[in-house]
Amino acid sequence: MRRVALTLRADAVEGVLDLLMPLLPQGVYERTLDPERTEVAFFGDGLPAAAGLEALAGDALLGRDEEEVPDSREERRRRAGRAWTVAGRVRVRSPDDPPAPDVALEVVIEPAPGAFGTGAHPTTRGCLELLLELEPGGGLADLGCGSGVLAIASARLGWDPVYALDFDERSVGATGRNAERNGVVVRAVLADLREIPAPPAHTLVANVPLDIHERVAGSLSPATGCVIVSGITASQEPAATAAYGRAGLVPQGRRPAGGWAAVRMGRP
Amino acid sequence: MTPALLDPARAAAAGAPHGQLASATAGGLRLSCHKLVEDAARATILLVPGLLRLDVRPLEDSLQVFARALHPVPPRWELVGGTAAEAATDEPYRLDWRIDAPLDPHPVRGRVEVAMTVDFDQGVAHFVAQALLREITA
Repeated sequence: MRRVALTLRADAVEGVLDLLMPLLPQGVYERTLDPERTEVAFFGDGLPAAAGLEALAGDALLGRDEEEVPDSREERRRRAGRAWTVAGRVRVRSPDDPPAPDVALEVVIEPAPGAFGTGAHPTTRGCLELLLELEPGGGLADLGCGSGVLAIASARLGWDPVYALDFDERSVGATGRNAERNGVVVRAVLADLREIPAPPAHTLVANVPLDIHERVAGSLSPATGCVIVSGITASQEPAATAAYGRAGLVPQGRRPAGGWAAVRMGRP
Repeated sequence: MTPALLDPARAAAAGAPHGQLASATAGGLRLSCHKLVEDAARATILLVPGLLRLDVRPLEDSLQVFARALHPVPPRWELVGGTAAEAATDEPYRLDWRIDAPLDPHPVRGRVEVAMTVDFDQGVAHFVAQALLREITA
């Protein structure tokens, strides 16, 4: 299968896509190369001719690459751009995205089918923003770890030891692999929080559904002084904060986004 | 100018590569489209030439929506409903917008709905999109 990648001026990408998208119903894959350049790639055997593409891109075109690649979804997924910067301090990216030298801390996440957590979701970003407000230290447990973004970022920031729990075997495996990739120690554990209490870590990051929050709050260890509560909608926030309120915690920070909620609860 | 924007034949022709249906309705335009979109790809699911294009980009755990204005006066998009927040359910992820394009001489208003069902293991999402746009003459 033919892969064509256009390197475009970042400020002109949308205008080029106005002309390109009608020709590419299967879609395009965008990747930010740096603040000034964006790669727009597409795959197929019946793609427009190179000269036509160059004409469409006009003076926005900075470069063009073409190659033959395996015809598979996995190949296209692997090459897709996945890089997100949170609070200007943490960048979550796939191994195929280039490093950003101007960001203090990078977390490299290999996307895994079925494992939640590319770093793009508002709840993941909200949790990261709230984590960045804390002074790192002591033990932390990431409940519902998915691909391990929050656990790995916590370990990179200085929490130790860091545990990561998920009821999904693929997520636990992905977290272990991603922790190794990032050079941090995260103890990834297969566990169903419907059946066991949360670990008695000082800090919990729980990006999980409301019913799990209610169970975690109901069996919260006195050693836990801070819980970052997310995975819930804005409408579910009162029920979640009330559950932790019954365990003696009070809201100390919020990051609502796109109908989702992230709340930091702590001991008064 | 506005009636041409809501011309069903124009929308049908422009949207044909995307599988978009376009038909006339009283004072307006009705659109419908469905499409399989691979994980991390940005694809068009609704297109009204000269007015708007709606692109979607599914990621494993989220959905990016790009409401692209194709008119110098950009339509306003207001999310008015949906089940986007019910991530823990197996139901399709739904988004429902009200849009308002303050065009001269007559504004265009309408609703746009998108539903997404994701197959995480296959790395693909199925989208169904519908829109109903009307010229407001009164």
